[in-house]
Amino acid sequence: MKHNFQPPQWIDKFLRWRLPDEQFEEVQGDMHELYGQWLQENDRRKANRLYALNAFAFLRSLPESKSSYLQTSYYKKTNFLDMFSNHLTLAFRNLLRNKAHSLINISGLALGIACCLMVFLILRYELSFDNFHSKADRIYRVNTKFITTGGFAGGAPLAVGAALKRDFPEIEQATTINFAHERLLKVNEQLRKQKGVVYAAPEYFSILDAKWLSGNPRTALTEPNSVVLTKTTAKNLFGGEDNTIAQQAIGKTFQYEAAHTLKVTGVVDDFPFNTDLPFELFISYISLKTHASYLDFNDWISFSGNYTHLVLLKEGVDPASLQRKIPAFEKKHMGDVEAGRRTHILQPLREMHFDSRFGNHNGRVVSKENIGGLIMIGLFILLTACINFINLSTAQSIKRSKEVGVRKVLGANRMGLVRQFLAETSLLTFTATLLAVIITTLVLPGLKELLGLQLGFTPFTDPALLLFLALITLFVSVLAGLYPAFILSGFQPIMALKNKLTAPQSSTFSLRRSLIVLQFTIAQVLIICTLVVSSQLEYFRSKPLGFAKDAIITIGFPSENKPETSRALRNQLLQLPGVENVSYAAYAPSSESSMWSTFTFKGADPTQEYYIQEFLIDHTYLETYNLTLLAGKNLDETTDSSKIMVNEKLLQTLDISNPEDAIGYTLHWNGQDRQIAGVVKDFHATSVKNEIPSVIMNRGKWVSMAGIKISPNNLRKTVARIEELWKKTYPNSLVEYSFLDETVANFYREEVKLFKLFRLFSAIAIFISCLGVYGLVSFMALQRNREIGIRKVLGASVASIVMLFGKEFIVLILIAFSIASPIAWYAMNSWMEDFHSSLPIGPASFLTAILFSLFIAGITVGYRSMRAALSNPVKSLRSE
Amino acid sequence: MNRNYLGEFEELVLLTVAHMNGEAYGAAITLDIKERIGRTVILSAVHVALYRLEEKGLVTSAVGGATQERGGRRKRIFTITAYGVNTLSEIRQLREDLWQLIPKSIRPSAV
Repeated sequence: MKHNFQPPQWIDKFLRWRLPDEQFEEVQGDMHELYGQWLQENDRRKANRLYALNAFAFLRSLPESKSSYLQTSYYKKTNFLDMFSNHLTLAFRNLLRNKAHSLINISGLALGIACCLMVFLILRYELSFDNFHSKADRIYRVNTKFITTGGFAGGAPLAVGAALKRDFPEIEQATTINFAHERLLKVNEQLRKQKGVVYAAPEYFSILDAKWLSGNPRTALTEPNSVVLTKTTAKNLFGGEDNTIAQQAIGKTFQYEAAHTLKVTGVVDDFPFNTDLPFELFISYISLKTHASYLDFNDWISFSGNYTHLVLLKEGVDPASLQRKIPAFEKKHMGDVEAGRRTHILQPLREMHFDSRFGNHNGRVVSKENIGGLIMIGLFILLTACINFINLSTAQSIKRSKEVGVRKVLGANRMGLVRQFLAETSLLTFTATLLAVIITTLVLPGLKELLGLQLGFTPFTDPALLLFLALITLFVSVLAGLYPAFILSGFQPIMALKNKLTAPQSSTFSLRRSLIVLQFTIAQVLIICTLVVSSQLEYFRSKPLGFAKDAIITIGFPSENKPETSRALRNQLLQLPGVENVSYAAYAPSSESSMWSTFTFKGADPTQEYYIQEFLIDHTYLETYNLTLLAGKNLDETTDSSKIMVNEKLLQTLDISNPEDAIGYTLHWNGQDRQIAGVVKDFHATSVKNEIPSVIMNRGKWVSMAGIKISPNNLRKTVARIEELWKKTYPNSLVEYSFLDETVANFYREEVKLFKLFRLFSAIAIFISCLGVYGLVSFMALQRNREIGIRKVLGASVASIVMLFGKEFIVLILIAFSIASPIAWYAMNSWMEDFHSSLPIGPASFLTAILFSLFIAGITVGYRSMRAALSNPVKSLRSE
Repeated sequence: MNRNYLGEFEELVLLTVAHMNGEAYGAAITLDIKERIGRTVILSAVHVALYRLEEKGLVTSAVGGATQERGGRRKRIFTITAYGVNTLSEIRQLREDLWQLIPKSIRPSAV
């Protein structure tokens, strides 16, 4: 009876009008409850009266709505953050529930991100070269192009720089420097080698930036024999404290190359290491007049890579239009013939680091292709890691279908679910990023050593790096999370709740398979490339060079060496036990330095230039370096300078096929007619990947180094004896010897780096792929637990069950291989394009790669499926 | 100590909230006061007192527990805070002290 009565509606309407929304529900509830009570105690009229009385009492003013009343949980509107914290809680629970899969996902992603991070660090380092100069975008370097041969070289003849400044008003400033590499100094009677020595004019510092600690930038390099040091050099030479050395060093003097006294007139701060002009000691340019009196400053023809001209263009000058005016400029100064043979090219300062045609003073050029390749590899490895994530999440989706169903029934919309799954991915990615930072911190010292780079890594204070990490986290979250999020959120709730969803069967669901194919394609491309690079390196190392490089040391003579001294030294050297042969020459058959010139002959094409590499040798050269004489005879001690030896390659130019026929042939070289006395078998003067040049060998007095062949036994002792003798002979110089085989090995250091990098990255790629496969197989094993049980009960063997899983992956890997091999073949072919001599890419690398992939994947799949196949079928069948 | 001033009715409501221990909401408190003290109170007065107490931090509230009698509407359940408990015991202590000051001769024997 009591519930038959409803309180008067109009009073409720009044309450509704009177009360704020957030209080109405609660107050009306209370009122109705009281009304029920009143009805029990009184008749209906009394109850109604009480109801009205109590309701109208709410006319009184209520406490301010600002009270905490509004802030309590119910009335607060839910916002994004509330949902986000909820998502995070759920994400954590899910991570913990699927520990194995979380581990696979996180470690895969962490490795991928770590790779990207390392690639980023390398790129940032390489791209930062010389970006600290305030006028860097207006500075150009002048290089040379040989029109007749199509070759390129860094540097230009000495006269070019000043003439450019005179002739072109577009050029604000121009300067010429002469890089002198390593020189011998004597400070306080102490001999020392100094690297980064350069001759430079005051203008150098009005073009490039330097921080002057003492001395006047305008006048410091105007006087002959004045010198400007970097801070560290000053400290090394004179000692002293960091903050006072700049002042103390001014006015100090030291000996240079045992012939000149230089006076310090300025100290500049050290240059950053990311420069291709890594100078440490600037000698005034004008000193060249006495230090190198043979130099002709008006020479328009000959030059070396050490002559670097830098020009600063005025603001707004288009370098391309200036470049177009240069041929006319060359005609004017060099004459038509020479101007038709070579031209000069303006190279932007910051391109110096990337253009291998011209080189730089840092000795390390990184080609844009390599940088592009590095980016690709980094991205691909990241992609591999993302694929793991996508595969595992979609495979697991069935586990969560109920959750999705319940959520949808309770009113979750699709976007909300997508957000939830993305939040889970983000949490995972974030953890992976942190892990990647740790991995990078651990790996970086090794990587720095491997690549010889000064990579900086301060992950928490470096804004660019933090931004990169944030972006990569976001990028990976979206890349890896979006697809699974849409799949999961797209379930039909009824199907999901009725358990009608089954795991997408591999036969019908091809995305996952294609992703695995993609993963293995990436991994196999990397493996093939690694193998090809490695076999190429092996080929370079093992290919006969045409001369002996083992157990030979080379020592450079000091510049003050006199022929008499070295002649006497030769006999003393030969008497040392262990020394087998001694040869004096300009350089060994394989060397960092080289001398080039041109020759002509009867019947030569007058529009052509014939370049040769000069070898200044002595009578023991062939013997010491074990070069093969094909015809004629060696240049002996009595041969005069009109007799030369050439190599086979030069005979091709002369169109002589039989070496014997060349003996006595006359050609014109170095302003003189020369007769071919002997023909030497071709040898590799530089890296095997370069073309063998035409060679002319002749005898000369002005040798600059000794090559000493020693017996491999007691090598150390012999070297020590040679060093001692050398010191005694040349007390004013430092002995610096190097082993010829090391010099040769040095030609391949970039290839070795490439190989090591490839090896690292392909190892990571295959590891990540295997993680993914392992995760997938273990999921499949779980999914098909009962199937396996039934099969076993019906008599299936372990092997047949393993094959059940293995079959699919083998097919996928084979498909991946068929995609990977043409890609790898193409990539490697373009890598070897610049090599003159290379091993053709054989099937061995490909075969090894596919076998290796199958093996690794086989172990992964086999291990997991073995476990599934060996489990007791009773367990799996009873479990439901 | 900067104690909140509590009116007599507020104190009454706070004590009720305290003893009802998680079951205190507008209608229940109204009925409880009627039952125990025999005083008829107007619902709005109880609500106002509760909001004030909440504003002062002596109670907190959360929404929940719809029941049939309320037509499925939810209640706002009030619970006393630690600060509320302290305040009550301080008031009691103060009263106690005042009691002790009353001369024995006229002090009601019951206390």
